[in-house]
Amino acid sequence: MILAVVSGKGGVGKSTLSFELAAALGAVVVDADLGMADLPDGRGPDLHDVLAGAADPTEAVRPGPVDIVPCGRTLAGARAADLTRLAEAVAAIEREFGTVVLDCPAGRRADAGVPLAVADACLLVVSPRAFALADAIRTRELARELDAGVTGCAVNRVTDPPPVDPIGDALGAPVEVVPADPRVGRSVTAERPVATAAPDCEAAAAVRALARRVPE
Amino acid sequence: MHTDIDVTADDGVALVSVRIDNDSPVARRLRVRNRLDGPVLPPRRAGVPEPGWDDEGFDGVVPAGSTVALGYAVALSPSADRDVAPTDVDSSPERAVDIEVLGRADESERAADSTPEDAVRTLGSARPPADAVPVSSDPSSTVAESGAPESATPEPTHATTPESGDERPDSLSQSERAAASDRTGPSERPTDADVSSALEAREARGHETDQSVQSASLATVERRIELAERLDGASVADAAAALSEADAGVEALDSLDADRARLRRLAARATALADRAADADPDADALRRLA
Repeated sequence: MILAVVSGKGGVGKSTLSFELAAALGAVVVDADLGMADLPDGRGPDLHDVLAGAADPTEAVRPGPVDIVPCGRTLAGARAADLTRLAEAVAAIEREFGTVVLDCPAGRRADAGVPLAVADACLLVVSPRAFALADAIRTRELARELDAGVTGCAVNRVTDPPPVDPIGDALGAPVEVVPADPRVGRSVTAERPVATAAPDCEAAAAVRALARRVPE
Repeated sequence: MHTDIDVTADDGVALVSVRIDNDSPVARRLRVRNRLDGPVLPPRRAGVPEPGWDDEGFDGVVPAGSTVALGYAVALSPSADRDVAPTDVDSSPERAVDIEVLGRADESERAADSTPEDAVRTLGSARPPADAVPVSSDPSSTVAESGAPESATPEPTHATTPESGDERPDSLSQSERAAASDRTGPSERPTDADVSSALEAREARGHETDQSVQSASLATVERRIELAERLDGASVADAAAALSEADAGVEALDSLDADRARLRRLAARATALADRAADADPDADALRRLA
């Protein structure tokens, strides 16, 4: 199973939710944001090297509380990376490690489209604001064109109760509300997913609910 | 089925255009294979070959009662023993391509447009432009950067054995690991910190040239120019006298070109500033009253 975590706008919490979802699913999370990576970096080969043909995909998996394939931070690496190799690389990781969660970049260029083309399904992340919803609808259309079924929609960092039904109608997908929680915000840098650090909090329950919707 | 082939060869590159009319009432699948000696350079969008093209040629469908036009280039190999010499190509272009009709096209054969290649073609490449990528002075890093897939393809990395994940990293020998870190280590690739320091250095150099004109007093430059004027067309005796009087040697004249360029820049800047000073004429009295 390859799940792409996508959004129209940046900064809505894709990387954090990708990390949390991977923890809940026992999956490998791949930082597919080639230009502006967010997940922790580390030593050794990264996704830039893999897509430049300089490293084996499974070598780039960095074991940890959540297994991560980090992405390089340089422009040169982003330029040398060949996106058309992503399908093969992710398939190799899936064969060896099982479920893969792809943390995608925002937008509608090829760097966002190719992970969707590679994925079996996708999860839309929106922030609870009207303007973000319009972009989420465009991303949903892109996912539809590229044959990635939408498993659900996460309304992320919610403080006031959002209009769940209109959002669900607009996106045509089941909506899960992830409440704002500072522990979620810290989880990526500390590499401590809330699933283990605070399993009883509402955000962890929402992530589990999102994970349950992901088909095997 | 009617086909029309045209080839123009020039400067080691042959441009092949093929037009295929399908006058039958059914869609037909066909294969166009290049017979010229050289790799096929197919049409591309966003750096990715158009659908249906591969190293050999094109594979696709001509709809019923319709026409398909194809074009590609071939980089002719310089070897003498070609299957088809370029001179032959001009007289009988049909020898450049093999067109094979594979029969009726099946509706279900149409693949969905959801491959990564399709995504890149339709959405456009998201690579940072080449100009944005910092160029390091270290020649080895330029190789790593321009790492075209072919050149960057490493020797096959050790077999990925599906043994226990914990042992995997240890199965690398020291030398292999060293090679891997050489290949992928940050030292080969300029980091963003390198970029900013390079930019700062460049800016600093820019200021330096400006300031050097101002600080190296115009008097020094004037002395050099006077010396050059005295030496211009002077007899040996005059030249010797001039050089002995001047505190600078002949080597001072080496910087004359640079002086000229700097002075011209300074003059242009001074003129531009004078123009701006002339244009900007606020009502000073009114402002003074306001203050």
